[in-house]
Amino acid sequence: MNRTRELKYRRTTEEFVGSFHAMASPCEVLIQSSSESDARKITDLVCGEAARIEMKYSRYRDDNLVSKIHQHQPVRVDTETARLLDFADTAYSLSDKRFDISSGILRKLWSFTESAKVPSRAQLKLLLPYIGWDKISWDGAIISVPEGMEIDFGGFAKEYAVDSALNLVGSSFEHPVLVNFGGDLAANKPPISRDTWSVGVRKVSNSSKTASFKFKSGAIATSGNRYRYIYHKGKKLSHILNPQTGWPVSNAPVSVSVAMNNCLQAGLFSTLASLLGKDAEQFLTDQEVEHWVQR
Amino acid sequence: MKYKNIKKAISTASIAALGVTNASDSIIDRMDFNGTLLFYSEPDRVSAVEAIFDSKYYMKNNDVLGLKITVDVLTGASASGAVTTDVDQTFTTPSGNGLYTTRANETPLDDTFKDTRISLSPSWTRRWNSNYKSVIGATISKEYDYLSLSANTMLSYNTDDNNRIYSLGLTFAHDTISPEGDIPIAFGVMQDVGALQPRLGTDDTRITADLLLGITQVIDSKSLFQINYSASASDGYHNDPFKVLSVIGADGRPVIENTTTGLSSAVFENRPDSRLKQSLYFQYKRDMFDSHVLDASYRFMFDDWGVTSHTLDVKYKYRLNDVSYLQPHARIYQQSEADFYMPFIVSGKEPGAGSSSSHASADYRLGEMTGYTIGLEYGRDNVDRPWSIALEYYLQDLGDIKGAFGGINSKAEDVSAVMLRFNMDF
Repeated sequence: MNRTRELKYRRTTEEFVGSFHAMASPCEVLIQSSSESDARKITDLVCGEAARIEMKYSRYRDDNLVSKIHQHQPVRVDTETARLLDFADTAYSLSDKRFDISSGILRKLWSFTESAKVPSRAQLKLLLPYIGWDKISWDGAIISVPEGMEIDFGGFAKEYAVDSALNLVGSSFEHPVLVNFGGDLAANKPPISRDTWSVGVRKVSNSSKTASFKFKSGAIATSGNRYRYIYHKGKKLSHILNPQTGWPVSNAPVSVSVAMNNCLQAGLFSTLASLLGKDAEQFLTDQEVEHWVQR
Repeated sequence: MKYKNIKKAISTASIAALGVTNASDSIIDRMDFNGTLLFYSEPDRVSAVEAIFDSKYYMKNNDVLGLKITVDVLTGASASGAVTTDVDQTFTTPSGNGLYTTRANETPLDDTFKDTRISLSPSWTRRWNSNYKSVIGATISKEYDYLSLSANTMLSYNTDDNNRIYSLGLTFAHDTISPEGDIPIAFGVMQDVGALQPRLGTDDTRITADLLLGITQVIDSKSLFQINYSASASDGYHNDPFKVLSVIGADGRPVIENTTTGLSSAVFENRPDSRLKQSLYFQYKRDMFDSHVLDASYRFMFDDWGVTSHTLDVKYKYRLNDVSYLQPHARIYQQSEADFYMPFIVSGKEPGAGSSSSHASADYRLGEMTGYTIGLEYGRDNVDRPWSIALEYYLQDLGDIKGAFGGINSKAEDVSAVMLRFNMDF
């Protein structure tokens, strides 16, 4: 599975670093071990798991489960997918329908490139009836997506892959390992050589401070991308779209990072905070989670 | 305004999603189970019930492990090979411990036929990369008087953007038969109950090697074509220990071996100790009108026993709606007789007991025959629990008995059968 992916290794003073590209992101594995052979095996495992999840849940393939679901007939899914759909279902109801895995079709109208155009209200009005997790039939085993609708695991697949890869490593190895897929990361235990892992977050504007996370174990997920926005009528529109209006969230933070036990829930909270725009900080404070918001 | 704290609920949901306690540690990603129940009945002859349980385990590393369990129960009677005539006939059972009488104008059937077979077939499938796939499997099959062990492997190579698949398959089998009443001596004469029967040894064996070469070609987005060549070479014991040939006298009736007991004269059959079968198989499948499927195949088989056969099989899956279909099925099978097939032996011309270089069998399965099958299947797929039910009717038209001696035995009795099959995923 890894043959088609280029794996790179380097050794720092304290650890091995394996790196590869998956899920449209640069991925790194930090391994605190004296055994290079173990480090390579661990990187292989992590890369393999990333590739597996990417292949299984990518919406760009015509030979996977997602494409089967998009044939709009009832599909009995495997247990892993069932767990993810249950999670999406819970997230949808707990977030007052803001987190919606059926909202991916908005990308048909919005693209956040330099030449992108803002869609018209009429265009959005035609598309909105095809968004809404509550219109999709899911009974815990069988999913049936109506014609014209789609689901997208992209909202949490990368975070899930981080957790899943780390679990996989933990079932065979004892070494402290940190998995970082494009800024979503998790560590199984504190490093040996020092008290905490230290991960820097890029400074996004002059007004915000450079953040550096120190943590022993657990996960940090970040939502936001400073390059993805377009200008419309003199306003900068963020790429965070509200699934209920189909329109970018106003006053969305540039980046939201959340630290929690696992990457999947950290990712969900950072996404939900971004969707709340100006209320992002207050939401996270009320949730009593450690967070860093950059505006 | 204060936001509702959902941290705990999301945390619980995320732990469930990661399946940390069990499933993510499990090496099995998904399991599929399928069950089939089959009822087969030839009126007045064999009836069978077969249950098949097929399980597939999709591993996290993309390997697929399979285990198929089959249980058959057969009861009833099968034609012994002795001729039908216009007088009552008496025979000794294969065990040598009992006798049975066949009424005038009825086909002699050995009705002590009862057996249970259990078979296990594990398999391991690995996709090495996007081009190569291998399957390694084995089968152990055991019934009262029969044990079959086999190992098989199949390698397939996918090329031309998945539009062409080359397949190579090999199977080796070792069969042991230890029949009730031991192994009959070739052309030995059936003796009375209690007398010493012509037997040699308690069991015998046969080995078989099979080769399969196949090409599957996708023609366009709606159709594909498959060609297979297969060869099967076997060496060892090929006789059916329960089959006999009647010895016919000048009056066209079986000779009476013992006028006191009325025992008919019959000798045990003998077939060559090797066989080479070759066959060519062509299959064409086509998607019709975006919802129905035509599946047509033809097989040509020939062997060094002089048997050639043609099988034409056509199925049409007619989709009634998104979740159900009807599938009519028709099959014609035509076979020529083996070089050594003979419906009986003329008295005075029977080879001596133990003449292993002479070959003769009256087993109707080696004679000329034409078989017709028609069937209808109703199935529900694309639903929660796919299932199907099929009913088939089979009629076997045996050829006229050539060289009818004395004009009494002119036509073999046709065999018909009804089959009901139920299949379900669970």
